[in-house]
This record gives sequence, C-alpha cells and structure tokens, in this order.
Amino acid sequence: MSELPNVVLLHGAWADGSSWSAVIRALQAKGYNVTAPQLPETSLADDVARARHVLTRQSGPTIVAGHSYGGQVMTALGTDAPNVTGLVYVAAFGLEEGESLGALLGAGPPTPSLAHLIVDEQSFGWIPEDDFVNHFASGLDPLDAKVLYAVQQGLSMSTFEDVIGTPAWKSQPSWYLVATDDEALPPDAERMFAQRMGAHTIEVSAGHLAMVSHPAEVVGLIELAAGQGS
Amino acid sequence: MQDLTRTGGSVLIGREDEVARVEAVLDHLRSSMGEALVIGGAAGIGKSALLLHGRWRAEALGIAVLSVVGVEAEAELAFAALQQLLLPVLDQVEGLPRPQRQALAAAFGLAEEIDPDPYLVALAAHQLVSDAAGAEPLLLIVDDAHWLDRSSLGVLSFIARRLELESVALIAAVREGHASPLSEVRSPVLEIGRLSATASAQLLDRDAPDLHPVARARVLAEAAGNPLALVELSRTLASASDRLSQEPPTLTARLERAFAASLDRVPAQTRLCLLAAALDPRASIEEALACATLLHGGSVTLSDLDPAIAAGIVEVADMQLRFRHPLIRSAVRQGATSVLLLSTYAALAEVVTDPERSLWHRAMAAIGFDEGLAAELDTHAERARRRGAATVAASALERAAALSSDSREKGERLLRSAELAYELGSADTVRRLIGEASSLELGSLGEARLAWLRQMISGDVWVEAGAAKTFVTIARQMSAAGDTDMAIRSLVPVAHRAWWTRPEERTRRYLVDAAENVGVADDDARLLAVIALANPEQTGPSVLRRVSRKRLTGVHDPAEALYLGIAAEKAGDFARARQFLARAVERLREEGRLGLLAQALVHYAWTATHGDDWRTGEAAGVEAAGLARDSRQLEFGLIGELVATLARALRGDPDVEQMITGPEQVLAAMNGGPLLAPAYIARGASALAEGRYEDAFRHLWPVFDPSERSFHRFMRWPAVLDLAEAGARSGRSDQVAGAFVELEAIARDSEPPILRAGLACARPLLADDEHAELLFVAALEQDLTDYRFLHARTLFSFGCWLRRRRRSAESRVHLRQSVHVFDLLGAVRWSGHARQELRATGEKVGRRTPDARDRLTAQELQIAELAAQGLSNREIGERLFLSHRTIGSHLYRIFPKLEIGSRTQLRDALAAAASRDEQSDDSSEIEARARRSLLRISN
Repeated sequence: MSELPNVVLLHGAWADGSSWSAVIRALQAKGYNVTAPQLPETSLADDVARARHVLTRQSGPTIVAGHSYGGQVMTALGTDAPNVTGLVYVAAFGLEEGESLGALLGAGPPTPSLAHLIVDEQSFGWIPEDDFVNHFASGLDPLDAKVLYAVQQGLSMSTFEDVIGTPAWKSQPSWYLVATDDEALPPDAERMFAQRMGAHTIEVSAGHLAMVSHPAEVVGLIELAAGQGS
Repeated sequence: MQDLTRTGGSVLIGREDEVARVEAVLDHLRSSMGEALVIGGAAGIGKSALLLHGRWRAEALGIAVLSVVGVEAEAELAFAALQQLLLPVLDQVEGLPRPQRQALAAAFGLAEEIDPDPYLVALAAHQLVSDAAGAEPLLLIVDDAHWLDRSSLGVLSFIARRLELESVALIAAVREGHASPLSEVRSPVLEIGRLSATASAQLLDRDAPDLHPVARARVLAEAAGNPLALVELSRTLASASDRLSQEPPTLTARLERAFAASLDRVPAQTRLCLLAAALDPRASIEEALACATLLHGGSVTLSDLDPAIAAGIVEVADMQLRFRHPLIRSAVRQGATSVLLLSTYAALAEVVTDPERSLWHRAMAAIGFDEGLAAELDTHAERARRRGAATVAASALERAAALSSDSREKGERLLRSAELAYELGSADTVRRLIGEASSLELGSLGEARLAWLRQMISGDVWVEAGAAKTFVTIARQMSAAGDTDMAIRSLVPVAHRAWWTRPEERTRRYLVDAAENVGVADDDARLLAVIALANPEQTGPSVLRRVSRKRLTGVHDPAEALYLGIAAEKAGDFARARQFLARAVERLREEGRLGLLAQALVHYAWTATHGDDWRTGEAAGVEAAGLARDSRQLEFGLIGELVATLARALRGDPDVEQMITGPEQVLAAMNGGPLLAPAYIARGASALAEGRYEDAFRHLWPVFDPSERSFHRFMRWPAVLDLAEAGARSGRSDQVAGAFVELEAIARDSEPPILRAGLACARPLLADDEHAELLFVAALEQDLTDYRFLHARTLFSFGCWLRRRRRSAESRVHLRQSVHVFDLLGAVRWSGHARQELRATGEKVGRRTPDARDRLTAQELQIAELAAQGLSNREIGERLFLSHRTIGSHLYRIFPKLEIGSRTQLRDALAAAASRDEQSDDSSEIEARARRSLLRISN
C-alpha cells in the first residue's frame, strides 16, 4: 500500500469543523492524517488565509475536501495551493472565474434554507432555527440538527460579493458529490459545477449536510481522490 | 407596532428616540425655551426624514416653520441661504431699525452697498426672526447645513446662540465627515446611527416586499442600516446589476453609483436639464430648460422632465427642480464629462439673467486667461466684501487670479484673497493661496504682505523665536514701499504677543524702535498701542504723555479709541484707559462691529475691574466672552471669561473655581505660560477674600516668580497688594520683599500708576513694626481716588495693625472707614472681615444691608440699569445684541429678584442701591477727615 496523503476538510457556512466528525473518525481509523480547521467566516480572504495556513503545515501530498461554502474557499485557493494534489467538493460551490455567490444564488428561485436569512448589525448572515432544522439540515434527526444549529457560525455577507479569480479546480483534479435532496444549494447547480470542472461525480440522495447523514459515501469519494479507492 | 413612528403620512421606522428628541425641542419651544439642535449622520441615514417629521409635527402644533436646504454649489453665493430662509418673513423687515434694515437689504443685494458689518446683518436677521415669532413660535429648519454659504452660517450661529429665552428653535442637519458649522454654538448634537437589523429588515420589506431573499440579504448587509441605501440598493439590485460592493469603497460612493445608474435610463435632453439644475441650484425650471435647449440643439420642454420625475430623480417645487437627494446632484455632476460641464456653464451664463450667478457661470466656463472676466470678478469681490460676504469675495478673487494673465495682477488677487481668508481664520486656504502667489512677481510691498501672512499662520506664533525680526523686516519693507499705514498695522499682532510672552529686553526694544521708525505720526494710536504692548517699562511715561495730548471728544474712530485705551492700559494708567475704552465700546456698539467690540470689551472689563467697578467689569467680561465666540476669537473670549470671574471673586462669590478651570484648560493647551496668569490672579483674589492666605499665596506666587511658566511681567502690577497681603499673612514677607525689589525699580523708572499705588499700599505690610506706621500713613496720603479698593484694604490693614497695638480708638476710625468703602464697592467678604475686626475693638456693628444689585447677574444688572434709564426692550436689545424678547424674559426674571412687580418700580429699586454710591461723595470727606485726624495722632 502506498503512502496515504493528508486530508484537510473545510466546513461550510453556518457550520464548523464538527460537521466533519463522522468523516474524521472514519478517515482516522483508516490511518489518514486529518485536519479540519475552524474557518472564521469573517470574510472569504480570512477563510482562504486560514485554509492556506493549515495547508502549509501539511507535509506531503494533501487532498482537500470542502462542503458548501468550504468549496468556495477551496476554489479561491487559486493555482498555487500549497501541498494540494486533489479537490473533493461535497455539495459545494465551485464557481467559475468572474462569478460571485450573491449573483449566483440571486439568479434562480430562492432555496428554502436561505428564504429568511437574518442579517445582523455587523452584516453577518444567520439561518433561523426553523429553516436550519427543516431545510438546511434536512434528512437529519431533528435533535442532531438542533445541535448543529447551536454551533452555527454567522457568515459575513461580504462573502456573497467576492468575485472568484482563477479557480483552483482549473489546475487540480476534482471529485464531486451531488446531494440530490439538497435544500440549500440546488442539486442542478451542483451538477453544473461538477460538469464544468470535469469532476469525477457521484450522486447521493442526501440533504445539504451529506457528510453528516452519509459519511461513508463522502469517505469513499475522498479515498478515491486519495488514490485508495477502487 | 411600537417602533413605527408616523411622520405626516409616511412612517419613520426604528427612530423612536430621535423622533422623541426632535419633539422635545418643539415642546420646549412652546414654553418659549428655544434651543438649537444639530442632527448629524451619514448621507442617507435619515436626517432629512427626521427634519420632515419635525416640520410636520410643528405644523400640527401651530408652530410656524422657515426652512432652507444647503446646496453644494451655493457656498459661493453670499447670504443666499439666509435670504431663502427669511423670504417668507421679509415683508416684516419694516419693523426693524433703519441701520438693521439697510444692512439686511445690502446683504441680500437689494439696496445700495453700504458696507455693513456682518454682525449687523446677523443682528437684523435675529431681530426679524424674533419678531416673526411674535404671534406663534417659530421653527427654523436647515438641511445640509454643511453646504450653506459661510455668511449665512455665521448669521445662523449668531441666532442659535441667542435662542435660550426666545420662541424660536433651530434644527439643522449636518452630514458626517463635515465639520459641524454650528460647532461653536455648542448646541447639542443628535447623532443618527444605523438602523437596527430588525428595523432595517422592516423598512426593506415595506419598501421592496418582493425582493429575492438572497438579494434582500445582500442589500441588508450592504446598506448597513442606512435607510436611503436600503431603498436605493434594492432598486439597483432588482434592475439587473448583480454586484454591489465592487470598487467604490464607501457607501456614499456606492449610492452615487446607484443613482448614476438610474440617470442612464432617462433620455439625453432630460439629463441636460438635470445637469443645468445640478450646476445652478438657483436655476428656475425655465432657465434649466433654456440651457438644455441651447445644448441639445432642439427644443427641450417641460414634458422632457417627465421621465426624471417618474424615476424619482427630481421633483418640481417653487418653479425649481429639486433633487430627491443631494447625492443625486453630485451623481449628475460626476457623470458629466469636463467638456460637457464647461459648455453647460457657458449655456447657463447665457440664459441666467441674475448678474451675480451669470458671472459665476462665465467664470466657471472660462478656459485659459481672460483679463476682462477677471476684472469683473475682482469688482464683484470688492462688492461682496463690502456686503460683508468675505468668503464670497475670497473665492471670486481666487478665480479672478486663475484667469489673470498678468503675473502682477494675479499675485495681487491671490494676496487679497489670502488676506480675506486670513480674516476668516482659514489657515489652510491662506497656505494654499500664498503657496501659489509665492512664485509670482509681487513687488516689494506684495512680498512683505505675503511674508506677513506666512508669519501669521506659521504654527504656534505665540512663542516662536525670531518672529520679531521677521515682523520688523516686513514692516520696514511695507514702509519703504510707501505704505506706512500697513506697516504699523502689521506690527500690532507681534506687539500683542510680546506682551503675552517673554521675549528678551533687547527684542522688546527692537520692536519699539522699529515701530517708532515706521513713519507714522508720533501720537498715532496704533503706534502707541504697539510700543506700550511691546515694552511698557521702557515706553510707559512717554506713551502716557502722548496719550494725554488726545482729547476724548476728539477721537471719533472707535478703533483709534480702542488703541489709545490699550496704550494707556499697558502703560499702567487704568483710569485713563477706561475712558477711551468706554468710548470705543460705545462707538463699536453703535456701529455693530462685534469682532472689535469683543476685543474692546475685554480691555474694558480688565480696567473696570481694577478701577473697582466690578459689576461693570463682570458684565463686560461676560459680554466679551459671548461676542468673542460669535466672532471666533478664542483667546479673547477665554480671557474675557477669566476677567469676569475675577470681578465675581472680588464681589465675594465663593464659587469661582469652577468658572476658572474651563477656560484655564483651553488656555493651557494653547501655550500655557503667561496666558494662565489671569486664572491664577482670579484664584488668588478669591482665596484672599475668603481669608485663605496660604492658598492665595500659592496661587499668586507663580505670576511673580520668573522661574514659573505662568510668570507674567506686566500682569503682576495690579496684583502686588494681593501678593503682599497673602505673603505677610502667611509668614512669607521676606520672600515677597525679594520679589518686590525689581518691581520697586520699575515703579521708580517707569512710573506705571497702578504699580505705584499698589506698591505704596503693599510696603507697610512687609515692613517691620518700626517702619510700618509711617508707611501706612504714606500709603494713605497718596491720591487713591482711582484705587478705592486698595484704599479700603490699606485702611483695614492699618486698623488691624493699630488694634493689635491696643490703639483701639485710632483703629476704629480706620476700620469704620474701610467697612464703609467695602460696602460701597460691594466687597462682601472684605466688609465681613472688617466688621469682625471692628467688633473686636468693642464697637457694636450692624450687619451689612445687602445691596439689591447683588442679587442680579452681571447681565441682568446691565439690562435692569438700561431699563431704569427708560430704554425700551428693543433699544436695550439693540445695544446688547439680543432680541427684545430675550430682554423681556430677562426683565421678568429680574422683577421678583428685586421684589418689584413692574418696570416703573425698577428705577426706585436701583436708585435705593445707587443712593449709597452717592454717599461716596461725602465718604471722601469722611476719608479726608480720617486722614487729618490720623496725622495729628502720629505727629
């Protein structure tokens, strides 16, 4: 068996590193060196800086996986992401150069998760509890969903305005997991992302938090990216 | 819902506190407690909406409203805003006294140019507003006050400072980042902050209920609680553009961009019309259309405005186009190319009939040099200056300079512009203008004027070394160029500084020499003031000789009277100084020249206080402080406050400390040092009156000790008896005597009357028992008619001295006499001490009957006395630069204090107090008798 690459997991908006718990446990059991940093979500630049910080500390090849907005961070790593050898998108944003989250999300019909986004005095967005439990965390046990609601991090709304430069996926092999019951990011948009980046794609009938409800599938895709799968 | 506030049909969301504050102003107004409120905040934060609410509410309460909106381009039009504000009440101008009516007419360009002082205009406007508030209370609303022309702002500040007892209130809105133009008024500022997140969401959902949730979140985030941004950005976002926060770094810039986007959607000829209206806020619709027609090539008519009105860019009111928000105006202007701007100005110049506006448009449209136009602007500037619109004159001259091809003319115009800017206190503008002028050929007089300006604005000139040399060189240059008048004037500021700082003796002599050789008459008032200020010890006797040649009745120019007063004061003859200063005050008052009046009043207050007329001293000091604020003369105001405080301390007010610390702190920040001397002297006088001799010494010593920062060479003079008394009674006679060695020499050589009198009275206090008695006798033998307080204190000290030697009978004579004079002067505390001593001699002494006048403040007393003389409220108001209503309110407060019910009783009430003053005549007889008896005893 060849040497295992490192795995870095980037959580999405309105979440934190704990959303990867099940995936981390499984990967560690298989002997992977896993890092799941907490992204501050104060701005895209801050989040990219934190991701780079963590990537620089890896020794050797590293697979990065991003969920949702974590995909935006991953994409924004650009063409010189340190140590990175592959990208795994889990129901994640994979924008093209010149696109922004705000424009993209505003273009189509609104998804139920974002229908009542609260914007606070510091211009951070938060999902109200009902929308979080019923839509953002759809497919999860409501009690688990409430725990995730409790650790929700506000997202700086400035991230909606950032326009992507050359995306990381242009220079990296990529893998994509489409969550077919996603109520935060439309599955069709996910398919479009996957197709545009020429990703190796799998579809899972899961809600937006696929790595919580379907950790095995997510781990399988990461292993594939790590060159360990079949 | 609780947080919905109705405003004339619309609703102010999330502004409950702000609305309450504005409504409080209106409630107070209805009880004749006028006040000024400044509303501050970012563009679009809701200032105008709040003002609108105020207007609506006022109208509902039966309060009349006058309003004006500042417009960026109007900063160049003198009194434009004031005229607009007062337009509805201008028909009441007939009720004003003639000089005020003329001043106002001249200011508005409606009458012959008569060169009114700007403060006379302010006074007239104040009266007019006060009169207009006769039937019903009046609210003045000023939006975008930061864009008002400065002449109008000056007037509004003047009015704002006098609202306390009026049925007039002022609410002004000022955009964040602009210096509050009313900041000197010290009116409260209501800062409007962002809307809360909840209120923002509520407002956005009301205004744009169908917004896409993601767009809604983005707008909420971008607008950051700014209501205008909430509304405008939701429109922009809804109409295609998908990025909000790219390049423009500020919300204001983003808003302008959003407005620019809406402009793109109206037809070209409509845009031309909007541009004309944006460049000339006074343009009528007709003029704007005519201008657009010229530019467009085809006829542009009223119907071409429809798209702009439909898009909510402008509305039509009073036959003018009004932009819905000032940011739209700037967006219109910024959207135009420079070529289009030039041709629009040219077209405006053609269609606008008002000569002043037309001239400005031509000036803006001109490219390259145009001497003819420059000359017109020059003439216009001169007219504006005479109308009291110095700012306008300065701008016109600067523009004229830019159009001048001749370098000499250009330099001259820049210099004049800079000199006006200097008078207005805009150091930055002066710096810019003289920077531009310095590369030009100015001629030697021009060079000297430039150098003078440079010197006047160069940092902390109070202490700068070498300043004297520079000023003298400048004066010589001016004098050599034939302008001796300007030369002597140029030395006045440095002479003032020499008095207030500590230059070396040879520097003082150097300044005196320079002034004497400038080439003006040797009794020129300015010359005398300069040499007396620069080196009173050297020039004192000569100055007093030359001043004595002047007959008070022969001095008509108030400035001359002021300079003669200053000269006499600095030479130490306060009694003589006071006569000239009283004259200056009277004349300046008549002419309404508040700036100079404030200065004259400070000197008058100082000499009156040391001439033992503390009520006058206090009133003059208080008035000086107020007027100095009006005319932005910070130092004069602070010194005025301190002199008033000294007078209060002498009248026995125990609580002067709190009145000292405020001005003291500001002065300390300015350079500390000798400027602080008046604060120390006031503290010393207060402590002394209360018998706290240790404290008194501690306060006074720093004025006398050259190693202290607050040492003041000349302010020591009137305080020598204070120091001697404090020192003698706290066991420091030797220390004081040491400090007096130099002062005795000065008294011998330069003979300043105030110092000589003070030292004569101080000597016995410092002497040993053998010599004290003779020294007391000698002190009392002097002519102390101008120094009654010194006299009374010497009688008191001598009385104490005699009592301790068990010479009770003699002691009683002196103490009795001191009680009498202390009572006469209103020296309450001193009188108390003297009575106590007198009782200790075994004499039965009654309590002092309080003087009715002591119950009045200085200003109230001033008003009461004028009213008792039979002056009407209006006449009193004119004299004191207050409205007749304010006078009326004051009188209502005064009556109960004097326990009278009407004006007619005023005379008797004051006469009762004044009758004691008359006793002072026989008191001198008493004094003479006392002195004679004393001599018999000691022989």
